[in-house]
Amino acid sequence: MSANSLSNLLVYFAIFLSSINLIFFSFSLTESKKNSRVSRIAMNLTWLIGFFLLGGLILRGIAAQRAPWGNMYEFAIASATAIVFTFLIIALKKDIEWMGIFIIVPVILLLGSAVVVLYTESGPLVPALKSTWLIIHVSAAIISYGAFTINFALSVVYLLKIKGKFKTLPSAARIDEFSYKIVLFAFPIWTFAVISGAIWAESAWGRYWGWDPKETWAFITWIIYAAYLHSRVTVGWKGSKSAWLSIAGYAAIVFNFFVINIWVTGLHSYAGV
Amino acid sequence: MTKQISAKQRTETTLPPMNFVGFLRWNWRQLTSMNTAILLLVLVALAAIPGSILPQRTASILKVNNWKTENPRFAEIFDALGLFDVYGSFWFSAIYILLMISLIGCVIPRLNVYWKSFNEKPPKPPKEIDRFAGFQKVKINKSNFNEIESIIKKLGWRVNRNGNSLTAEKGYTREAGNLVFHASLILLTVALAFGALFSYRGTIIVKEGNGFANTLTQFDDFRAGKLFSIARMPNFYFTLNDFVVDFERGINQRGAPRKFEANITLNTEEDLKVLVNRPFTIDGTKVFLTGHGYAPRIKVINKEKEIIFSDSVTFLPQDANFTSTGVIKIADNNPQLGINAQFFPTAALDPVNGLVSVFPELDNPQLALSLWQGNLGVDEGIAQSIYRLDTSKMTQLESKELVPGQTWQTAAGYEIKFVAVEQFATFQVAYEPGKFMALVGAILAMVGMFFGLGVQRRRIWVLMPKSQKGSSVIEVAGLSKSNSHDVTKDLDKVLQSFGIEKKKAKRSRSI
Ligand code: HEM
Repeated sequence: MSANSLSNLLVYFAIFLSSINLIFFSFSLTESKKNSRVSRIAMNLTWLIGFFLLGGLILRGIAAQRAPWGNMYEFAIASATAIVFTFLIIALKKDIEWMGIFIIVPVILLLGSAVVVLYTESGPLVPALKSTWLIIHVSAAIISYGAFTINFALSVVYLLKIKGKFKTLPSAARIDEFSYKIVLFAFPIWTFAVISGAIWAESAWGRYWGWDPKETWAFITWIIYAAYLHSRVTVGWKGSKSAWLSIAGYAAIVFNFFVINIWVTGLHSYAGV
Repeated sequence: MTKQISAKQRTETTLPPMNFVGFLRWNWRQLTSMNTAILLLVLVALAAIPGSILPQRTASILKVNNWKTENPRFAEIFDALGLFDVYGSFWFSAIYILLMISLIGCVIPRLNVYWKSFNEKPPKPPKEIDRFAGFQKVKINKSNFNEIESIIKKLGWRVNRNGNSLTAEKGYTREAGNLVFHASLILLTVALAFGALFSYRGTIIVKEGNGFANTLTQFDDFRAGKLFSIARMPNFYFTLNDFVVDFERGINQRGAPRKFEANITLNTEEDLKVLVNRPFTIDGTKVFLTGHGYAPRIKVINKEKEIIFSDSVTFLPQDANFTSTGVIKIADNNPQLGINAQFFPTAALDPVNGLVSVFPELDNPQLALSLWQGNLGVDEGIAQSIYRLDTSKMTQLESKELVPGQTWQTAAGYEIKFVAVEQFATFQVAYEPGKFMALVGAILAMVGMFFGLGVQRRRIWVLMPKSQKGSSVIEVAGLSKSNSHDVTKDLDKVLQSFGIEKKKAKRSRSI
């Protein structure tokens, strides 16, 4: 079996396991006792999903002989991997099993759209995408996207929580605080992603900022999360106002990835989508 | 540091005093308030959106014009609103200039405060420190408060000592980081504006064997900032010796470009290989390889056996397999002649679409020509595209498909020869001043942010109500100035350095 088809197989396994994990995580959501048997199973399963995705990604890189994020399909798989591992790494220190369901749903959606809509066979890059900056820029984007996804999930949980849902979860104030800390982590990485992107653009096209649609939406995303940080630190916004800002920031990310990449052509269009 | 203004203060400032200076001051305060800054941030984000959805002049004038002819109802209004040049429009500039003013108005007073804070000592401990985070009484085997003070100082705290009590503060670099961050945003914006005013960029098409000189007339497309002057254009030229291109032949991504390579000779007689992503720099101007295409060489001979046209013609690629279109206009002939041509590098017959190209390389090159005669319309003074034939005053004579080397004897008596296929390369010439400043701004922004977000400002108190010989009881507590920081960890560290091990408390795993 070729590295490419093995990679596909692992991704399919990951989707399958994630769907099963939906059931475990929804059970663990209803249990007030932490570290119950069900949530332990769910967490172990999540590790398995994480390693399947990582394996799939590595095999993809081997098949293509380059960093495995050269087209939308690979970018989606890499982002899903980042989401899962960010969650797992936080879970090493904190009891966040209850968050699992809110993480696994976006992961399934992302992987699903990757295999159904975005799939491309692996192949070398078009010349314009060959650059070390690509590796740096895209991996920073992927890591921050992973964290922003978790922040988004927490914002949604927060809004549901203050409507009286999910009695067993930590208090709304705690969730709010925690989601803020995630932005504190993700924002500098996103800033770095934008800057390294500008450096790459300079070396590839001779201008570091050209208001290309992709750049514009990266900027919009950055500005929204900057407003989010400000609103909390300086005007003391909390809770739902903040949550809506962070959802707006995430909407910009999703728009940039799905709408701008596919419908709007710019210099950033990938090879084979 | 003025962090949050109380609700009461805020309503007071929103009442404008009646005199003019007061009015200005009120406006200034409004502009530099944090609420306004957030509003401006949101506005800048919203204002950037239309430019990513509507075609922009800065990217492609052609697309703007197409959009305008397709949507005549909105064309004029949108144009008047600057929606086809959002990032150069007055309203976009207005928002970011306001944001910059607000930023400056925010940074300068804070610089001042920060400067003063260096000479200020942390305030004395409050009366009831048992109300604060991490309060504990611990027994230690030190009776000398001087010793306690020096240990805390060694841990990097700034200390204000009053008898047997002290306040220690840490994390001043947070504020410094924040200031550097915001100041570098100003620098970055200035660099961006500078670049927008003085830069120029243009595209050129160079056929193999031909050259390019860096003068305005040679560009196929040229754009410059408002303050750019031709006098600043560096003088250079180069010749394109040959162009090498390689496409994927495997099944996966068949036809995708894998290698572009232009071999050029500079005026300095230096030979260079220009690759995509590997531009060359000359006098601060960068020259990039951005594209390529085919230029079939065609020769036309009239009834009198005179050569009336002989040149290679740049054909514009239309799809990934380089089906390309080109036009020849022969105005000197009577009657005037025009040729509409399509070129297929690897021609194949499609049952539905007729002749198509199925691969971008020259595996089976074919040229489809259609010959027109009549009035080209070139004498009417209206600028014409060299890539379009205006056939409104012409009649079509005949058409034919040719392979390289083949000659077509037309019924009208002309002899048209498809001599060979050459290539052309497209280059982008870009001069972008201010990019070093922008890079410095970006790096400083990252460094500033690292400290501004990573360091926490916090304060601790240590009291020794009464000292005894050999051992004493001290009281400690702390206060974190940012809500995401846990000051008890600092207290643990301080106590540890006094030789007091932390009670093995259960690690908190809640979020
Ligand atoms: C242009 C976009 C701006 C960006 C991206 C930005 C970014 C930031 C960031 C990342 C922080 C740190 C937040 C934290 O400590 O958690 C911050 C803090 C702050 N910013 Fe901005 N800022 C911008 C504009 C402004 C403007 C226009 C003002 C002034 C009106 C301003 C005033 C402040 C203040 C007062 C803080 C508080 C820092 C503290 O915690 O002590 N910023 N800003």
